[in-house]
Amino acid sequence: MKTFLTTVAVILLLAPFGPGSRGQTAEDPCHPDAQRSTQLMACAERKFKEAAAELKRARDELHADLEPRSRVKFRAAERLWLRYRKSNCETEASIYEGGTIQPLIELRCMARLTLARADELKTQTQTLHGTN
Amino acid sequence: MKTRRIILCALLATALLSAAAGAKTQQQRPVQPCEERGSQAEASGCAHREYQAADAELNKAYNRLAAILDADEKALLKTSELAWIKYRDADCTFESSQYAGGTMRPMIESFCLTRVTKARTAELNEQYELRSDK
Repeated sequence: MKTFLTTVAVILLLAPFGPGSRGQTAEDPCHPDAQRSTQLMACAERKFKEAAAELKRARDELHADLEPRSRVKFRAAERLWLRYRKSNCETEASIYEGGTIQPLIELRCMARLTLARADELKTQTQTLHGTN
Repeated sequence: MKTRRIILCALLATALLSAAAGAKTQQQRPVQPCEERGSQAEASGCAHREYQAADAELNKAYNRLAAILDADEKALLKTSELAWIKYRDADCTFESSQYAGGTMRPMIESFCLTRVTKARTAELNEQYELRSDK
């Protein structure tokens, strides 16, 4: 028991220095002063990964509550959304065609749409559960 | 000592249960203003009109953006818009299918269409701003 408590205490003490706090250092690519294109790209990649994780959470929560019949319809919507996201972000980045900034604009667009889709799925989970 | 442990366990269980109950309540759909109408038919009509208004706003945003694009970009925008329409319809068919056979289904579909359309309008406005800043 004592060993267990010690372990918990050590974990709690170490937690603030874990991966979550790296963002505070000067190395943070998402720091407002970060301007190098490699930093901006690294920041966009991180934001996209965070958005994708958020979407996955919302998706799993909704999917778990669906009947098999609805899952088919849900997956159809999901596939069409992926196509829409790709098409939309290619369109958005097209003004920077050939420029070094093009992949950055596209990735930022992907992150933005992914977050919007996560919100959409959260709302759909509410709809599924009805009103009070 | 044993009694204290049992009490602690009971307290913990109560806390966990009420947290779970709280989370469940938060996940429910908030009642929309249109639903405060008398009948379901009125509520559905209200929801449909709301969607028509949202669609009109979307058209404005689309035309505003299309106006600043060259021919190639306009073609890309059109492709995206068609992809979006397919997504929108599939998304709202899915959502309202949860209410299949019920009188609420058309209203639920309109609420979905309005919401997805408003998100698309915001997206097109965002693209307009990005291009204006360039």
